[in-house]
Amino acid sequence: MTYVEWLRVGAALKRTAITLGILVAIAIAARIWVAYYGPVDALSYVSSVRHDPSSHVAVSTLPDGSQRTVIDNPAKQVHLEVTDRGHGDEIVRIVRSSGAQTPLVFGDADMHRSTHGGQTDVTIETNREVLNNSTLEFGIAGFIALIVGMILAGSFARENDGHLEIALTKPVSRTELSIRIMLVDIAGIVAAWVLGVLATYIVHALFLGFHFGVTVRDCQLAVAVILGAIAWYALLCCATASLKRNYGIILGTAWIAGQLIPVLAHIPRNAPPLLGFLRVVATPLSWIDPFTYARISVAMPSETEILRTYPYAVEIPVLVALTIAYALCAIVQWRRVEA
Amino acid sequence: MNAIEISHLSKRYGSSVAVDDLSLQIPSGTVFGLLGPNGSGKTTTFKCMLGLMRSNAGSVEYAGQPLAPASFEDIAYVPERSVLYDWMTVAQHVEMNRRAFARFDPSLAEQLLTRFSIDPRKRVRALSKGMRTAVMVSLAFARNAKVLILDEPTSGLDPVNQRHVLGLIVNEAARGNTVLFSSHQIGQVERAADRIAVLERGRSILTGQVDDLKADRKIVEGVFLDGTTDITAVSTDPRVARVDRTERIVRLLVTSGADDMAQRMTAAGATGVRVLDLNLEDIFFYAVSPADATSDSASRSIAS
Repeated sequence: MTYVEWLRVGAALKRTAITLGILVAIAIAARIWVAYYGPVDALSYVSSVRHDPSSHVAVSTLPDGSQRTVIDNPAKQVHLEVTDRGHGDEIVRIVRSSGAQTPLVFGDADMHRSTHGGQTDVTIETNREVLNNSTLEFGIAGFIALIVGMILAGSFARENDGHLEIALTKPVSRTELSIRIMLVDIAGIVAAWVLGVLATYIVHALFLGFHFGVTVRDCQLAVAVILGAIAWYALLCCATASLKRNYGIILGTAWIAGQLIPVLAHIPRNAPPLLGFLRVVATPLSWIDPFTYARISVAMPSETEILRTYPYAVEIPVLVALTIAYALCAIVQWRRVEA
Repeated sequence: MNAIEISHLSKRYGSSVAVDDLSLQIPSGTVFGLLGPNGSGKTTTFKCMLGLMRSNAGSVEYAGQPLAPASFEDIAYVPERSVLYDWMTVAQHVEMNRRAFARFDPSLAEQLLTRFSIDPRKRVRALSKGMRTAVMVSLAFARNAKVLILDEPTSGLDPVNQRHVLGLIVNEAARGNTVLFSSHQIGQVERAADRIAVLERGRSILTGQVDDLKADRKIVEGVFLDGTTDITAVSTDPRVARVDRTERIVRLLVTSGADDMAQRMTAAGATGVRVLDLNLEDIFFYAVSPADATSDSASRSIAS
């Protein structure tokens, strides 16, 4: 019954995969460029020194079970200590001369650098949260899912645009057909999120190594961003379910209003009258705007999360409720559409 | 047993009436032709029958049952314009139907498409109007449906393929299925249909078996050398459905008793009186076109 919708979803995912593939290819090219011409990634540097024939490597086991590797390379005037505590949890100390060597990079938060006399002492902790969470990846993937949701959201309007004689003469009720169509689209949105996660993990691995981790907060974020994309999809379905043409304008521009409304709703009360009027208008709209509850900004790896308005315990149930409400609204409208 | 029974169906768009208290009975196993000029309500009737439009009044039953989603296993519909998905291939449309309808026969669909010289690998956007019609017809006939509702099923097809579609229609009836179709090509309807209904302004103004309509209805034509001859007694006969006059020629459309009317014309002073058979196109023309002003005034003149 939903073969056409599967084809649409497949086409959208194909385009998404191609786009992400191009971005990954660009990232690979950038990584190669960095490897040759840019600053040296600290972990890659450690690996190259470890495998240098002139290095002396000594491995020992510490009382807590950690494995310590000490590498000395007199030719390069480098002393390395790698304490591996398992599961990618490492402390790496690099001591080398401060001469005209290629600078090492690893990210600001996890790399501590100090200079003593003629030597630079670099310490890296790979167990820091930034390497062991997937906040950024899940958030970016959520943004990709949102875009795919916006592409798929015109499913009812697309049927209205000259295909109702096919859609509505299938041996299934309109209600069941519309639910099935939306479930297919939702599967496509989730699949787009997975594609996004895979692509961002590849980029992560390219630049930061194979150090991945998923925290409980990441899972909450994943649920929030996926639900946000689905709720926005449902809202657009609701807005276009009875349209036969020009629905593309709504699909393409509604997100601007969707993003602006929560911002306008936060205008201070003592703002000038015009802004105050906008706040009064935007505030009730913000209650039913999925972007209010699933701001893309929550994806940013910020501890402060200043743009977050509600805790997940509120966001997630509200997004589910909005999705159901908008989906019902779309179904009710589509049940009444005439060919 | 009626395959389709339409009772007092009405559909209005604001103040204009598209279908006006239409009632039709379409027996099982028949080919039923729906005729009517543009805007007479044929397509609206089809859409109301299929639930694609909400009617303002009336009901439609299929084999005695109201339309339900499951009914579409037994009903195939070909709309007058292409509703295919431009971005999909013909083969994908075949697959779509295979997944949606239990009795859909993909091999039959492929045979029919081959017969219409359509490459299933082509996207619909690459097909001509006639080829799109052929695809829709092929898909409908491969459904093995008990009722086929075809709105202009030969639109855009070349004469050879038009004849092929007519053959498919007749074959469906021979298999015991019911076909309801509309066409502007009355010759095709005459060739394929057992029964017809003529719609005008949403109303059925003529319905019946094609053979009966042709057998009953005749034109009685005579020449009156004197244009003031009083033929009131003839023209007001209840069997006379219409009076037309061109110059001195008077034509009466009679619904029965043509020979008797010919004798009465002769008695009224007409010369060269003859009885003409009607084909379906004549019957349709006389049903939907009013006598023109000249004929009307002439008729009144003759009558007076």
